[in-house]
Amino acid sequence: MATAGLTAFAPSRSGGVTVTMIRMLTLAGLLAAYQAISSSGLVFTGAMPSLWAIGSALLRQLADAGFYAHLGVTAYEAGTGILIGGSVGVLCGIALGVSRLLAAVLDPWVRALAPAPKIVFLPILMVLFGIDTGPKIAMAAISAFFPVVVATFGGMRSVSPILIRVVRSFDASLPQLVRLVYLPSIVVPVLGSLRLATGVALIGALLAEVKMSNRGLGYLIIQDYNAFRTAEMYALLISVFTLALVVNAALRTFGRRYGAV
Amino acid sequence: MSGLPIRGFTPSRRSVLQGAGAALIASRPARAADRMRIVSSQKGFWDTTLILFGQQKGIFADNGLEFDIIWTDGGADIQQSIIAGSTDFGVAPGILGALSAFVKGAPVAVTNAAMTGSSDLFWYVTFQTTFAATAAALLLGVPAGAVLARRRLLGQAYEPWLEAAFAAPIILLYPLFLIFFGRSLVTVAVMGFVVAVIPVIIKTREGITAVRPVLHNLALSLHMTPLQSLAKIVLPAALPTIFVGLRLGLIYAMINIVAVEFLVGIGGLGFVVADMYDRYDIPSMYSAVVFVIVLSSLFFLLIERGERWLRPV
Repeated sequence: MATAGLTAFAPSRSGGVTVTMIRMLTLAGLLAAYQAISSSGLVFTGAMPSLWAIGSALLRQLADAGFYAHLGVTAYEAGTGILIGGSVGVLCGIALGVSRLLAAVLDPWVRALAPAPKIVFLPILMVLFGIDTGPKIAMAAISAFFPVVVATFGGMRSVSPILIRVVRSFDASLPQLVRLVYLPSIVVPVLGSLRLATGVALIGALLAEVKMSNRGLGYLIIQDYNAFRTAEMYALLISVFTLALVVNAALRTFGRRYGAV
Repeated sequence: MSGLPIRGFTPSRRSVLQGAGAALIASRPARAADRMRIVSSQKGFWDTTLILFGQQKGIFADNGLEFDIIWTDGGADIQQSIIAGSTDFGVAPGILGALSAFVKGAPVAVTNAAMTGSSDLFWYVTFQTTFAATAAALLLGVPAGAVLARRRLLGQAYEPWLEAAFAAPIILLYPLFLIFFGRSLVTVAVMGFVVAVIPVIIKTREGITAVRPVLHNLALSLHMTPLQSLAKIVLPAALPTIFVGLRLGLIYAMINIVAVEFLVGIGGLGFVVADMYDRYDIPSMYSAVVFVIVLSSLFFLLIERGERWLRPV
């Protein structure tokens, strides 16, 4: 961890208090600066609505049943995408780990595609799956696939050859080898990659909604932008960011329980 | 509005329609008049206001062009008046009406489109903005990370926020960036910078914090100045970790830049993909997708080479 170098200086109790104070002061400073600029008239108020306007828009939004319907659509798209992309990613990662030939052939492709911007596949997906929830799920699945396949393959490669030889010497079949040796060694990397996969899958689904949709949070955001309802847009962005951060933190806690970083 | 063919106006090419995707010229003999008559659809739309704006600001008069504007109820009136020969040039006739008049052999000709896309379509736009964003992230992110490593309390306070920002869907903020920075390549580059700088700061802080105390003590015992110790000891020791941050920053910058290009259509490869989709030119769309992947692989290769070249063995 980043704090490894600090162990020599055991954090005192006052240190903890100071850290909290720095955070509070920064947050208060940022909010005050925002409000000052907003009410100074330097910036068009449509672009920077007051904190009060954003807060009341947020409350209105949270009290609106329609918001939760859109939230459900986005969650469904991202969730289904993660399920599909994640399980295909695990299977492909295992296949790459088992077959040396497959790994030699496909690994360069996976490594080239993994960091590429996935959004460029969206038009292809729209041609293939139409404009309903199909391309959003596919977009989330493609986004989630790459972190999982890379992590699974990494986990497979980290298995000690001695373990494999031991199991082989007991005449174990391939399914047994996978179940007894490979699966236990990929649990931790897969759980670690799940956090990244969920983040990119959510982004994929939201961007696909922004591009073309009539449902979902991405659609709501771009509608508010187009109609210049800026306070409502800020409120939606706050909700989406909070959602993403909560999911991320939950997955981190879940992963840590099983030893993932 | 480049290529507005009014200066080349001659009596033999008399009637012109120019508008949302279309402009027409009639090929019949001239109406005997010394002053041009321009006909436009309803007042007050952005594409119909251009001609009025140009007249009021004297842009046309400066170029020796005098004309009267006749306002109508819409596209059909424009076409009828041009075909009948009572006006010379039409603005915003409506693309479908203009096309059907032309196809049926009406004496009109399309001169030019009212709207044109960005001319900066090509790969180097994406290359430029990604490069600029990553370079800026490196120049600002490394000092920021160093400060957070040195001022431990600040580092402890902001580290979870940076981690949260790294996991957050920052790309969704692009409407805000459009509002504040306008519809230009600057917005695209700034978007790339914001996402690239976060991993650079995190990894720089991590790398510098993890420098072994023994190295610090070495610097102290050699009476190095803080600057010397930074240049000779701390940065080389932290370099591998900083490069991890740089690589993440580059990938994130490019992903976000291509996404903004794709969604907003300011230019670059992302725009080419979206544009080809809109025109239903699927082969060209696929080729643009392949080009994006090639470019991102190239960037990745480049930074891997650079890392190997810089890294002290």
